[in-house]
Amino acid sequence: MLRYIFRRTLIALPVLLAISVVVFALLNLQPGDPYVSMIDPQTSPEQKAELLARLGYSDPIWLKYVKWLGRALTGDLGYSLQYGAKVSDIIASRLGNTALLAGSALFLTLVVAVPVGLYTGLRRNSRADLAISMLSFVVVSIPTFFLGMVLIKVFAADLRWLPTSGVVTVGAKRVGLDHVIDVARHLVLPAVVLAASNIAIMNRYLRSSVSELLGQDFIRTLFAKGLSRRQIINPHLLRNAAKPLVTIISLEIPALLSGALLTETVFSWPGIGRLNYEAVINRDYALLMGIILFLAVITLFANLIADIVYAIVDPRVRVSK
Amino acid sequence: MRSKFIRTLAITVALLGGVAAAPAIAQENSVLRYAIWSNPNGTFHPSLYFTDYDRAIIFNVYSRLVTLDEKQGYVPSLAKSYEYSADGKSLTLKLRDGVKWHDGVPFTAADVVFTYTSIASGDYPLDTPAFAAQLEGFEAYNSGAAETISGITSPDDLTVTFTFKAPYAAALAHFADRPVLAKHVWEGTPIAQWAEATDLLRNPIGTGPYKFSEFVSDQYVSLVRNDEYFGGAPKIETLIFKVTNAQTAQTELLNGELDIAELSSWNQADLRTYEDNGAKIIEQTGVGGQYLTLDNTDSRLADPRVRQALIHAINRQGIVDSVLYGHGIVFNSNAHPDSPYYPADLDAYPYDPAKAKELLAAAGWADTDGDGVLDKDGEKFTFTINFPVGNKTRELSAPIIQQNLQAVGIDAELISADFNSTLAILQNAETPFDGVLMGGTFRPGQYGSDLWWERLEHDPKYVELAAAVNSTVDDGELRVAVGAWLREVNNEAVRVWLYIPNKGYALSPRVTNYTSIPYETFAGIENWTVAE
Repeated sequence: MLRYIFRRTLIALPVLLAISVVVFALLNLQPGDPYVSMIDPQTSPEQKAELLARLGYSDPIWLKYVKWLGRALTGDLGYSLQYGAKVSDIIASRLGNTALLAGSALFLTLVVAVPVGLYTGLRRNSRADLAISMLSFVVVSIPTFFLGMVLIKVFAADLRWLPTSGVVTVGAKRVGLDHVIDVARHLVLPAVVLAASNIAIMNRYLRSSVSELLGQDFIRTLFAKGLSRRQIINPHLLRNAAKPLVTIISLEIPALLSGALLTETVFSWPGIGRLNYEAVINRDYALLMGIILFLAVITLFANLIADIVYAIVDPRVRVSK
Repeated sequence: MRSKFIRTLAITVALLGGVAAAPAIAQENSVLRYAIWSNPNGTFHPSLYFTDYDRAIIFNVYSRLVTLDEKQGYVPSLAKSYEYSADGKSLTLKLRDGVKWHDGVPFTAADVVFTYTSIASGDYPLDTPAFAAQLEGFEAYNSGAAETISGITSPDDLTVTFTFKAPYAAALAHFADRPVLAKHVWEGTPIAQWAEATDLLRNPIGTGPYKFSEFVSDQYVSLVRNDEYFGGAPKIETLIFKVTNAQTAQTELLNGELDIAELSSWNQADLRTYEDNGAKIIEQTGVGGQYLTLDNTDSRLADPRVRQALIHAINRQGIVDSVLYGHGIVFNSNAHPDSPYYPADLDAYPYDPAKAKELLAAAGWADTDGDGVLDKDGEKFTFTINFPVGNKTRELSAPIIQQNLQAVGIDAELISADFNSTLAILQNAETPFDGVLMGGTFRPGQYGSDLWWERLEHDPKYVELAAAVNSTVDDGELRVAVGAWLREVNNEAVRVWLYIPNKGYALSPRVTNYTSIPYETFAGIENWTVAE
């Protein structure tokens, strides 16, 4: 098992390096430069060239990459011109907010999708199943930002129940339970939006996994042995249906972190997604590199965990590798 | 199974419902929430900032020597009075007595000397401001040959004299734009390291109406009232700049999460929604102009008749009427029509496609093969309009301009890209272009003598005219010099001036005694109040 983990980790490293090369090249070969928005647009080209030379912008791209890599290996991801702070510090400061949002969305996904998926899987082609299937397709087809705007219109603009942006009511200085409730109120809409399509997708996975299991011999045998529905569903069906869930959830985590870009932007939620958006808009290359690499690490790590957990749950996986 | 599912669902719904049903936001007294669309960089430093969002914070925390009034005249602030010498080369300012920095240290002339000397230093991390380069002794100090700059002197604690190489009228405009820095706070940090001095940048100490309190990056900046503000303690206790987006601002304002938000469009339905809900709409003359920058060195565009034809061909008033719903004005030279020196007799270039065709014909452009596109010496008149995305009004105006040009026989096409890519076209003198849709903010008292974008910066005619603008402080002479510059630019049609959108603000019903003027968004902020 350890050998397996070690080998998988070793494979991840060159992948990470390759990602960094590609992203670095893509960013730096774009027309325009990252300093354009911090220099007076009417500055003369001569003055500007001098300033850029001072900032090391005129180095050839390979040298820039080598410099960057050298620093990155020592844990220094560079300095964001836009935020005037170290990239690692900026990412760290947004991580909590994104984790809160992604965690809530994941929780919401599981709480809704698992029971609904089981229910529809057990009652395939019932009227409720068809209705839920239709709804799932609708939800999956709606773009995130549009769903966000619709919810804002209904729950914030018309009903005035929930706030639309930020993490807390600014200036209110709430503490203790009041603060928790305040954050929770701000969390509801973005978490629902972020969870919506995941619920629909996970529900579909579970539904097919459950209905497939129902047709399998060992479940039929259990029925034939006279076990009650409840006795079969709880220990046997759930455990087997949970296996694909492990994969989906671990693949979902990086998607939740990076896919929060639109949701976080619509709701002005100060997390990694919105940071990513701002970094793109401002051409904050150092910050963009940092964020993309961070997401790459998370993705590779989540895949690794998924493989390991899967190998534990289902030993056949290890043998076949 | 079914009961368990229903139970789970019920708990979830109850949880969400409970959260949703919490009471609507309580209206705290004396907190004003002001919307900003992007995170400030946290460069809260009067001479290093480069975004309007940082500027908003800086202009409330720091004070300036002079501020602007409604007619773009100078109003004393930290300076009690100012006077130019007879030859226009020296400007002496008497400072207000008894002013204190937010940390209690008295404000003196030494702070003023320190502030404006630092921007002339060779170590200053950005490009040298025009103001500094005009000071006497700039070269010696900038190169390190001299310890101090001879152009800034201070005979006593409340007097500062600036001496320039030549009469320099834009000095006061610079003071109105760049507040004074606290010497005792910044002198311990080498100037070369200012841009990285995050602790100091993020904890500004000023003399302004508000003291800096907290910056939560990507969320808000919070300021608290300075009870000892020399202009009188502000009425509102806490001023919060909330980072949000223009799409949700209306809902937030109507829900009480925001108190003031700049309007992002003049859409009638939006305005009605605001007003139906009790919000007030404030409208002001805009301070930023939009234009189609032309490459004056392009073989076709080098002919002024062709450039004039382009202006006549574009229905600029039509763009104001349709895209801005009439909330804007058209302008005709490189200055705001409200500028005190804007000549009344400029060519107004009214929308006139027939005249445009006439001018093009005079320049030798005719449709010889009958395909609807003008040609000359076998070359078709194609015209690429580059524009950056992000500004809604500009995006909407682009296809109108395209159609207008096509109507006079110019084969116009549109190319959009992100702002930096588009700006890169203009900034690289080697890149040829036809027209780029751009915009800029007018700075009162600073008459743009730069024609980099039009590639005319070394044209002796314009260099001379611009030099004349910066060589007198006599109001009458200045009027003549600025007028001559603006007339020449107008006459030559160096660029297509399009429109100046009006500025609009939505105010929640809580806000009273609100005053604000163009160029001075926070004028009179100490008198603003929010209802109990």
